[in-house]
Amino acid sequence: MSLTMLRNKPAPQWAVSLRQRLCFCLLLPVLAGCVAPGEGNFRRPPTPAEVEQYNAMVQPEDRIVCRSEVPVSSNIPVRKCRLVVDIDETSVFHREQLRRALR
Amino acid sequence: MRRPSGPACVLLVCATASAVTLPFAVLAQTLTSPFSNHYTLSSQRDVLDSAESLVQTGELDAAEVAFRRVFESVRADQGLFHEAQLPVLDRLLATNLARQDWEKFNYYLDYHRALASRLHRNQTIRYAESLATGADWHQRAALIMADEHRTWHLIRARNLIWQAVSALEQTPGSQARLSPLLYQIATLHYYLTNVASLRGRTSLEVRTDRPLRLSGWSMSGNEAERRSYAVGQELLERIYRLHATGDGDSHDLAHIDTLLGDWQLLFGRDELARDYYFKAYRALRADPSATQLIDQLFGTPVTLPASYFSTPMQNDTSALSAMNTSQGPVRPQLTDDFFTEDHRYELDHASQ
Repeated sequence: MSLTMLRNKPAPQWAVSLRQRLCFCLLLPVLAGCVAPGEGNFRRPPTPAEVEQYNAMVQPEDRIVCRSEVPVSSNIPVRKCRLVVDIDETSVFHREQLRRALR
Repeated sequence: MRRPSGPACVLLVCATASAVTLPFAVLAQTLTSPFSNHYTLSSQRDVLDSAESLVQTGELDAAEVAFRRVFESVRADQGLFHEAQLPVLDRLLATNLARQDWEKFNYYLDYHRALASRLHRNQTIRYAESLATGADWHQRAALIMADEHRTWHLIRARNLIWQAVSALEQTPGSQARLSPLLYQIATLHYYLTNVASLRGRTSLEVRTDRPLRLSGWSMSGNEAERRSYAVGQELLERIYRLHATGDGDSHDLAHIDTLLGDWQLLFGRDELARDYYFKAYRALRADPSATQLIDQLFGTPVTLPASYFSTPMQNDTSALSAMNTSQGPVRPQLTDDFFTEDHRYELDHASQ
């Protein structure tokens, strides 16, 4: 009986206010994510055409490759740009580590 | 009238014979004698004429020797960095291309680029033009060659055009020259995706400027195709923006929409192609003065990639148009009926 009464009883003002604040706090990061950051603190990765133009102007050792990569512990692909020399070095390193582990 | 005497007849015959054979004798001497002075202007002309006639008769090896002599002569006569070398260099490139002597062809192409860079570095438009000329030579070579060599030539052509674009971007007032070059880059991407070998492409693009394949990480076929599509789309949208912010001629914008439609069709995105064609067609139909352009764009099937229009720098995709085969995609003939529901799948059939 008392349970039914409690259910039908309107929530006190302080509880409504607390719930609103809680919702606001939870939504705040979501809303912040939707806001486009200013130029000062945001650098977009170069577009494929920009990468190609840059690569055409520099020596092979300075050329870069931009790709969408899915990082570990996430399913959201991230566009990352790397020097080709670095990609090759990382590839060699990983191959070497794998070989050592299998030995 | 008195008839000429015997000795006079002999003299007359000798004089006539010498008049006929002298140019050939001079030419032969100029070409063969190691002691002849071919560094004179008149001699250069003689050798150049003879080289041209040798090309006409198909004697390409002899023509190459003759052009090389003129080239050396011009260098010695007018200086190592003189502009007069460029026309002779063009003839040398053409001859070596016809002979398919790739070592010499690549050597003279490198020389052409270095010379153009030295001569026109401070004259942006001329520099961009000479880079585009170099790209055109690479495209001609790509037509003849196959496999990785074709890929290399296409990539080199693309890089040279990017360099031309970069040079023009630094110069105010040369924005109108950018559009055909950007379109050419997009077209090169299509050819790289469809008629060039994928083998060694990553290496040729990012590891070396030489026609070598260096081992290492490489991009997959799908990834390369997606990137080519993205680059072409970005460039065509940029061309659209360039025209929209300029005089904003509705005919030009509709034409670029058509090219955007073509791009979708080339990469199998038929629904998007249909949308772009519809946008262009509707815009042109609303303009009574666009009848001729509608006929030009949609009146007959067009083999893709189509050539660009109104090029200030006439370095179109014409060199590569021979790569278009009858199997390639075709922009279909479009009429009012085409965009009705009944003809929904007609684009798919036309593009196959």
